[in-house]
Amino acid sequence: MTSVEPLTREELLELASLDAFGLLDDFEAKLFTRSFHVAPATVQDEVLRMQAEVAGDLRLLPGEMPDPALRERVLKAVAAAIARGDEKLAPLARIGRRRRHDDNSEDRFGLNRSGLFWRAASFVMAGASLIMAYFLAIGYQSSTELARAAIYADAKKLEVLLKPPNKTFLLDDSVKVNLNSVDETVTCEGALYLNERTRQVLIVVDDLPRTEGREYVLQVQRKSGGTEPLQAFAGLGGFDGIRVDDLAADLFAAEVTWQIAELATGAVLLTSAGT
Amino acid sequence: MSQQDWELMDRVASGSEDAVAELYDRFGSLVYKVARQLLPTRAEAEDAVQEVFVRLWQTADRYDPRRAKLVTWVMLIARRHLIDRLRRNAVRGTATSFRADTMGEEGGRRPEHKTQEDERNHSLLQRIAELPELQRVVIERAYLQGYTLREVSEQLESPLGTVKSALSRGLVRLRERAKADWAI
Repeated sequence: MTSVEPLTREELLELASLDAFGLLDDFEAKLFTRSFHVAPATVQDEVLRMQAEVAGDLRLLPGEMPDPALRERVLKAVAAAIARGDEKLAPLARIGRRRRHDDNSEDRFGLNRSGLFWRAASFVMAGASLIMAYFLAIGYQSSTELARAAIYADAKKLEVLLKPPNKTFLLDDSVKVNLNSVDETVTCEGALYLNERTRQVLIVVDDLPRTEGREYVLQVQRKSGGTEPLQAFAGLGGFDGIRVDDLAADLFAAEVTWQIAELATGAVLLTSAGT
Repeated sequence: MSQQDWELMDRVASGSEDAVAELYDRFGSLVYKVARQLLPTRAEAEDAVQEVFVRLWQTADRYDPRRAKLVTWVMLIARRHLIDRLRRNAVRGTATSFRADTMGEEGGRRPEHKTQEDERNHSLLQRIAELPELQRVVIERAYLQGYTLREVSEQLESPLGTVKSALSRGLVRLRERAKADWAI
């Protein structure tokens, strides 16, 4: 398992304003996010506060105020975009549009506790025979922390948080494959832990858009160009952890690109290509 | 606030007009000012503000209050969109001309205030002009013209880390000076 050292508190604070202004390049932005997630809560608060101060600091901006009529134009433009429907939206944006917001069982971060198990009980496709929500049993907060540590390969944290046999699965037996978003304007990312010995793969995804009934698919693209779906699953929102069992043995040896796509449209959201 | 912010963005994501209006009322001016800072004309800035709010609706369900306060998220989406727009329309030359025009002949050391409205922008440009050379150039190119740090690093033939530090320090210094000026 390879790992880049997370940024220190001082480095996080130095780069906080650059991150807030979108001035970091893709790699650095991801490193910043990764480091932020593994930083102590007090440092996270410091970064959030500093970024908000910088982002909302009007002293660096022109004094010119918008024309009052602009408000109406903006509202009309958004309403028109909503009315036009999905066709002009990027796939990731489209996914989020149908989320229901009237579900009172959702907690602050949108985790619908009552829906966890139906979401996890997705159907099986070629190459997989079992799927399980990997982190659900240990509580949302811990699962979030654990999933972040898994995505960012924070070996120290995984060592502390995991218990056997999961510790062995992730730290000793698996090869980590990074998944990056194909759309650089979104921060969605994830990782796969491939365990050739047990022929299992653990999917850990940061922030797949959550939508009732919306499903994704883990698939591989062969060198020949053919795509082979392996497992469909529903997005849980936030950090998802799903294990797929009984994968075909040749997948571990073959040169394949791993992808997570939207099931309905086939639009690829995350890919191992170029990671 | 983050609970309310999350709920607001949840409502924006679901297409609530009231929520979009609330979002505009909170951040419309900010987004406009950022657009005005980066784009050469008022008309372009107004078009861009509309696009940014459509983009905010499109990405609303990705807002995570654990990762950023809402103002930071709005600024990030706005700046990314505006930089994309700058690149798409290849108006960097125009933006540079605008800056050169407003900064005067001596690299901005003696800005001429064309209108009262532009005063704040002139103050910023004047403060930028007073920064050490590297910080000034990096801020102009990365913060105001939308070049990536890597591009700036290549243009200046300076290590990326140096450019990054210069930008970070320059922004801190700018804010400190702005704060002091406002306190007067």
